Amino acid sequence: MAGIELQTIVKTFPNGVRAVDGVDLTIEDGEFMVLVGPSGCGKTTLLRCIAGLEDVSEGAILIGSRDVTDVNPKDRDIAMVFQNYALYPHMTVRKNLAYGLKVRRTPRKEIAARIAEAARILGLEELMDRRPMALSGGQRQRVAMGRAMARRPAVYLMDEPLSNLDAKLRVRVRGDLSRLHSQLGVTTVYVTHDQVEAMTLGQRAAVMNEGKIQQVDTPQALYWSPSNLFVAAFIGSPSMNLVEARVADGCLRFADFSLPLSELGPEAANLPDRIILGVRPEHFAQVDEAQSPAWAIEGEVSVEENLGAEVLVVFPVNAPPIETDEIVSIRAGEEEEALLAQEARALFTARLPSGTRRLLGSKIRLALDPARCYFFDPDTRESLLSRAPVDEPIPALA
Amino acid sequence: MTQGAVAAEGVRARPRRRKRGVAKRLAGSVLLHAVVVVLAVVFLAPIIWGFLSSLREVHQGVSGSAIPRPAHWDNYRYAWSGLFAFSHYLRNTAVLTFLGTAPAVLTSALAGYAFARMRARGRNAFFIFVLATTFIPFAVSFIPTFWVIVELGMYSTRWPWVIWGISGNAFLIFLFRQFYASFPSELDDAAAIDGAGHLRTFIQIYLPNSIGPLAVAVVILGTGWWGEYIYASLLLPDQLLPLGVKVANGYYDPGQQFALVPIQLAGSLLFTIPPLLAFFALQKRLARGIVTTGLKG
Amino acid sequence: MGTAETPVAATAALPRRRASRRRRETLAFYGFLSPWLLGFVLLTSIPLVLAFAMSFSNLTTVNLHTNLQYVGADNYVRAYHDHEMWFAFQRTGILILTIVPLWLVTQLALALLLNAGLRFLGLWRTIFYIAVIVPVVAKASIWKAMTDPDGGLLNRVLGALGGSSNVSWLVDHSTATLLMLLVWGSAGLGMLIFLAGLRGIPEELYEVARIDGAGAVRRFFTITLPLLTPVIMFQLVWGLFGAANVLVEPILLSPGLQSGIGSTVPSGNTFVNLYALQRIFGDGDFGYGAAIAWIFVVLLLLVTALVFWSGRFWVFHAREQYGK
Repeated sequence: MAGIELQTIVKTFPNGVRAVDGVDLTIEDGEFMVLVGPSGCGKTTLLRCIAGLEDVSEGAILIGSRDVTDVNPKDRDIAMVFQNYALYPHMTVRKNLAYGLKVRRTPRKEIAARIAEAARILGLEELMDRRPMALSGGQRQRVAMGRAMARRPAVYLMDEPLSNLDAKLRVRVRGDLSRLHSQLGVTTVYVTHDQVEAMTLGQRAAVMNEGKIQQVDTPQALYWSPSNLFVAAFIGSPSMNLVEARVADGCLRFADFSLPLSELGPEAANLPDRIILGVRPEHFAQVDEAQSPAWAIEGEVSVEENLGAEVLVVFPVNAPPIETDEIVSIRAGEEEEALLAQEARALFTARLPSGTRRLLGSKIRLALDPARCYFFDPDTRESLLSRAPVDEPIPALA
Repeated sequence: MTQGAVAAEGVRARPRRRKRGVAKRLAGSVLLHAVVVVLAVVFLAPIIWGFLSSLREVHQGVSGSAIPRPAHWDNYRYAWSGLFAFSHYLRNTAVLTFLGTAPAVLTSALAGYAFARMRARGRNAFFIFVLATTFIPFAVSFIPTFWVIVELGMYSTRWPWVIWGISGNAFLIFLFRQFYASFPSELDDAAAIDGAGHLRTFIQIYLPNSIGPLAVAVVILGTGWWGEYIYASLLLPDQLLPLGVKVANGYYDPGQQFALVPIQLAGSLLFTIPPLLAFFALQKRLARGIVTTGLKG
Repeated sequence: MGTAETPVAATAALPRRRASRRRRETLAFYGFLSPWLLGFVLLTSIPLVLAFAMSFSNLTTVNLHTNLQYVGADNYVRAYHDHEMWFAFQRTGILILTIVPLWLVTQLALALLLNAGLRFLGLWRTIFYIAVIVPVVAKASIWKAMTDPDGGLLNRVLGALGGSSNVSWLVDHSTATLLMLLVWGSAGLGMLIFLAGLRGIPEELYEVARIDGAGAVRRFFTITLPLLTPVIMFQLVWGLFGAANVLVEPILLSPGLQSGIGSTVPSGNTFVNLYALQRIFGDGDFGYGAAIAWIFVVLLLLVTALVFWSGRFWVFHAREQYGK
């Protein structure tokens, strides 16, 4: 059981790529920390540096206040679960679980006891004499976890362990992992590209991009108080809607809309002339003609996706779309290459409660809550106004 | 430990870089490279020695100073035209190699495709049978093959090479079959929907995507036929002999019954150049080809 | 009449159409294989059957097209009592027992070396493979020059190291010379095959082992070697066959004037198939030679089958049923 401290870690590969670019991070003893970000952001490289499988170019790594930067992986008191499980295909489950202990000359009785315990917790008792080839994906995953558990390390390192499982199984194992962590309480560093896993599993999550940590916080804080545009767009699915707006004449102007700044209170004075406005799809409320909220926009629905529990509508907004590098990389990471040529206008997505109305092609009017809108500097990408979680319903009347 | 103490220790720890690890790793790497260099020298030594010895004075054999002084470069000219017309036999070699290799590579690919992609009764049993034929030892087959060739009236002709060429090679069939089996079957489906039959699918889709295994096949089979000795020596008249036999027998001092060793070495090396060149040309594809065709169990 | 009948007629036609399509595909299949079949029938199976038949006859150059008699198992009995033949078997056995391990060890060692993260990997790979490309004739000339009693490289090196510098390799150590040629000549190919096998082992297995604390030697014996056993088996069988069928090299290495079937091979290198060859082309004794060859083949296949069967105990099988 130990905390981890990463001090200004830099990792440059021989081909010049700076995979990790100055990362400082403190992980508390017993904490479940998620490293999340799009592919290529450096999270796996950072994990491998902690493991000792890669040497850091600069910086120091401390595990339990011991400097392990120069120490071999085997002496760092860690165990790792790989994305492809890395089970020894020619050994039975029992031998796989025992391998690390045998190497360390653990007495035979101790090995048997630890294996039995891991098998019991993970439900592997019936599989002990099988070979990995004869196991399903979920079973292999449990064996990989068991192998780590039997070692009783100070730290678990996990590299996208759920990404090879099918969707339903993934949800179940996610829950199992959570419960396991509460039970065992071992410090865990967990790498994933799936922000849902980050939000559900992590006590804290570190959002990474291009080798740097963008923000480290609890999932709640990442959602409600993103510190910059990248985190805001990365967390939450579908992504936050973004559009560039001008501040003029006491109003926030974009497309054909004019939102009075008075609704923001005294903070509005700090806003520069140009900002990027962000609204999460779930923070709209549909209003009809009778209601007149202070902040409202409208548009014609071009795509309607009825998911049963809710409806996703997409409507164009008469302003150019925001195409920052980060947004592009997030979209590429979500594997959502547009099928048709890019729209010249920004597309907004709204999540609305499901009902009987057919919305496709019709004009809808949506109310916004100023307290749930985000404002970013177009050049620095930083968040301009501090935000906090909001409980009250979206105001439908001015 | 408090955060402050941890941080302080970390700051103190940083200057002590990975000197230990790096030094050990560097020493290991140097040792590795040293071993490889030594082995490379050992492996190249015979060829270098053969080259050096080919420059000696004709009647010297291999004796004399290690590096021959003076170097008799005209040994090569003599090897080329002194005792027989090297170019004539070179042409024979090329013809035989081509006859044995070019059709074989294609028909083996064809057969490999058939085993991988066509449905027929007894297909799998037949494949095992083809594989089994690679287990027929040369020892028991080559003499009776010689008889049959003679009985068929093909003695002293190039016809056996034609038949061997058309027939292909069981090992290559195996290679191609493994390779084609790993193609996504959607390719076949798309071709079938587009209206292509098996032959067209093979020629227009599978064959163009087989550069790796084709290169492997050409190199393996081609270098084998290029240096072939036993059948050529048994079956062919001097007129049609390839260099594989001529170099062994042709460099003799007519009067004194001595083998002209340096000349023979020169001839051998000349003989080695074409396959070497072909190998260098195809070498990248070769390495990739062996990996992709794969050896599963 | 009308619509009621046509569906029935259509379904009756279906199985017929499907069957003919399948027949056509089978025909096409064997069509694709017809070139191979041609060669196999003409130049492989007919000769084999012929050889088997002839081994029970008294076929010699004398009665090649005249009075052929079947003598039953006489040739085989004669072979059984032939000391020279058993000596040839002994030499063949010794060759196999020495060269196959040598081959495996050098090829695996080279592959491990090249897999350890070298710079200029392509260069080393090429250097070790060049010997495979060199034609047999050139290999033999080169090694005759290497082992020449009067100044071959080997003798020079031996002399420099303090030993005798006049060793007559070709005559007194004919098998050793052959071994050197064969190891040198095939190392590159086996190396490539083992390299492919090594590449097939996922890097992650080694990483987990490193984290678990296994050192390089333990990783080799507990991970690399077990997972390489299929490739080792392949090379073992291939090596067995290659060694048993060695024919051209001893002929070309024999000291003397013209190289050919009739050249006198030093006794150390009289292997079984060479012996059979000499009986046939030297003595003109076709029937006897065929019998010797068949004895050899049967024994070879028995040994091969044994090796295959032994694999059950030491070869890792990657393919197992799911949910066994």
